[in-house]
Amino acid sequence: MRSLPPLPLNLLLLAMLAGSLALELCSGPFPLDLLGAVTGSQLDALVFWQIRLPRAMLALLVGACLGLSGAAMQGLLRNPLAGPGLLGVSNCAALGAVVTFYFGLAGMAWYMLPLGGLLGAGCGVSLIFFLAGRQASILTLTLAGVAINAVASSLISLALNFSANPYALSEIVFWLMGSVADRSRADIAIALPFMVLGWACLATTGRFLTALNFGEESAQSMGYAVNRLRALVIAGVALTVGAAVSVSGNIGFVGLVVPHLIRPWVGGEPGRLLFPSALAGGSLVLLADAAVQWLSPQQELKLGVITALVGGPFFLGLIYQMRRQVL
Amino acid sequence: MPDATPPASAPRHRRRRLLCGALALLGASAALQAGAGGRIVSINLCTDQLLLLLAPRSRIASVSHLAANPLYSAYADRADGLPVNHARIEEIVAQDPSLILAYQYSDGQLVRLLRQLGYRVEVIPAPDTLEDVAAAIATAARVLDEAHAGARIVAQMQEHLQSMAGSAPRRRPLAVIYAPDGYSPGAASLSGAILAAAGFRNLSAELGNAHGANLPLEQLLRAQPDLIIIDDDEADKHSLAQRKLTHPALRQGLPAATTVRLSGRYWSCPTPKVVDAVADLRAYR
Amino acid sequence: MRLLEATDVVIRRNDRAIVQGASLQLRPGEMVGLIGPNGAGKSTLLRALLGLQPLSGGRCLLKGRDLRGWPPRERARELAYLPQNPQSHWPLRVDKVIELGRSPHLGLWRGLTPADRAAIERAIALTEVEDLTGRVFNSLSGGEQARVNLARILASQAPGLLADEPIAALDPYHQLHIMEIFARHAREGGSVLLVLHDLNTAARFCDRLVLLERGQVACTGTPCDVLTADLLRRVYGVDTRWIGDALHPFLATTGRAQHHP
Repeated sequence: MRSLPPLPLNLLLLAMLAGSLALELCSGPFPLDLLGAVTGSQLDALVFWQIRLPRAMLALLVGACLGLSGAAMQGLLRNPLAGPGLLGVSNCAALGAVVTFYFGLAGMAWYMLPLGGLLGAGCGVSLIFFLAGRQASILTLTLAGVAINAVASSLISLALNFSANPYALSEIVFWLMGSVADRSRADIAIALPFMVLGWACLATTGRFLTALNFGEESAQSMGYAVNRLRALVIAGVALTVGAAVSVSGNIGFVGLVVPHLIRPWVGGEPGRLLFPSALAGGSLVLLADAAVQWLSPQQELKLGVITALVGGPFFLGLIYQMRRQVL
Repeated sequence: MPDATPPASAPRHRRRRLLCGALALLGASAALQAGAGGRIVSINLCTDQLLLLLAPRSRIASVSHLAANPLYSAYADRADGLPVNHARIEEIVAQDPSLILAYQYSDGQLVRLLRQLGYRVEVIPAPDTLEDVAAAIATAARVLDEAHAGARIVAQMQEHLQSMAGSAPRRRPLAVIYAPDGYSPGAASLSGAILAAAGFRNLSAELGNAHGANLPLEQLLRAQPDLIIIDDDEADKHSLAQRKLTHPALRQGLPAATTVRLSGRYWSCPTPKVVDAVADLRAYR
Repeated sequence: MRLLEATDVVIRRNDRAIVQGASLQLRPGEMVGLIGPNGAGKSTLLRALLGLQPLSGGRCLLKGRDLRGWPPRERARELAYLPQNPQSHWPLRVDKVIELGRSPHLGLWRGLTPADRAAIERAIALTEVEDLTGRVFNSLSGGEQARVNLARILASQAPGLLADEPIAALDPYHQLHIMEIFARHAREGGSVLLVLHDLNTAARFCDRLVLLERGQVACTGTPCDVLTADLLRRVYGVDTRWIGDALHPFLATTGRAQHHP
């Protein structure tokens, strides 16, 4: 158990994040001189500030949100297979965003689109608790996730079908697989307030998540207001996942894979997992997006394909490992 | 109907012969009309345009539901009041057509099925060049038995084009056509041909795209085109593909460029309106 | 002054009365054993005394104030809970587990203060788990886990320790060890309330026993007063006899009673 103390671990992850950010900023249809771009030629600066930086920042923020919410969900549900993608929360957020976007509601105010995502995600998490209960086994939880995912993705398809717009139906790929291509500062501006609010909710729940190690009653006896804190975690997850998915679609597997990779380095403590998962999630999505731009310069490959290519085998390995344990 | 008063013997025979002859003529012309198509159905917007352009209203059984929409159809006024179809087999069969006009992009399954059922289906090819447009009009005219009308229209088009080609400037500015999702038609496309005829260079063609491809915003910015033509006349703007056309980088990154919207109804079908499109575009040179 | 006082507590669940009209007191310096047959309502009553189980009737007072009025953190500083078979979900290190006991004292962002560390050190010393602190909790044996859990609740420095069958799955050596630690806590002024199954352990270590029968208190008093043959036959349905000598008395179960209600 080679656990690292918080400061070295976070510094290491920050360095990784900075490296991933640099790599992403250098990725694109043309080579870009980073140092020159920040100050230099008019055109390079334009491309940097208008196109590359918004895209990279969004990838970073979305990755951080997904990593963080995955860690929070796993802590709250005491289950290493919990994650916003697997349990259907991301697809519910996408459904909320789709209904808001394609039926004109998003234009009503700047906050409507992320609000749609937030309401969708909130419904998703509530459904999980309703179906699987608070003492759910891995089996019940995963089955609940399968059910919610199936219903949400078919409702997304239905909503797109009913849209008056001829392009709507083909955009299902974006919503189900996610992408940060062609994003502008406006997208970051509408999502960021909700994301920050979500981070604020989750940041205070670290100790509570660790205390849940022995169950909800033990945590309550240790002086935690369990009902209030559980609601806070749910709100935090709904805010972060809702805001992220509403602007980038459902980028899968990040919330599942990242906490798993980080867990051995924090000694298994759910509370200590939150911040590092955010950093690592940001790095993962940045690297995946850099890969997307390298593999398909015409930007037809969706980000979710890369994360699925990484996360899928990882997930299979996880199941293989777990099948030796009692479900 | 002959009147009740009995005619004189010889004039009666003559009149009867005249009557029979007239009836025979009527019958023959009716037969001729039936053979060329008295109930013509068009199942595609572009074939609608050709049908509305070339054939009289009395011969049209139905046009597609887009024909009367002024947003998409250049001859929407002519389609007003005509029966409408949605290219569905039951609708078409119910109208008992003598001829069905389909476009190259119509549903192949539908065309095959209609032919299997014994209907005459003529497929008009989609044009990639202005010459193809003339050919398509001529083909449609032939099929509709209106060859003289078709030839007249084509001659007018060619005359107009030649008059414009005469005054070619020295410089050829760079233009790019940007459609939803960043799609930009290349050299071998009707839009590309119109662009070329108007005296512009096509960015997508210069990047090597034959028919068309999605251009990343960055590529657009780096090329610094003089003219950006936005091809989006879909009224409902709620899609990610259309949002791409309003990316702030397009405005801020190309301050020297002129942005115009193209009217799809002139640019997308093989009609003489393509020449009007060329003329409109020349004004931006 | 009583630490904890329950008066006429009634707890209903699904229209069934689990506890009907139970009263008990817990004073400083005493160890009380809560005994009774399976399903008598012992665990439920214990949880009610911790504020984990809402009451359908009656009231619980902690240091004279209604338990419901206590903020969770302050209540956790007075009462610590050790549930039956605590399941550990994550591979936490032992020192982290014990640190959890300091939860009611920790600030939101503040790390461990010297006072916190001192309390943890003391708890580790009392339970003799010094060599286990670097290991993963889930890899420990039953006895080791029991000691670590005990260290966790001792670290909270709560005067009241309430445990539900803390020695059920342990071997004789560890059973005695754990009970001795509880006894020491009571001797030093704390209060201990344990749900126990083993009547001999209860008799040996507890100052008072509360015998629960179908949700009601059948008898309260010293082990001698409570563990009488008639009472045990009525409540447990078994015949019993005290054997051994005055120094090491032993309650033997001789057989099931003929007419068990």
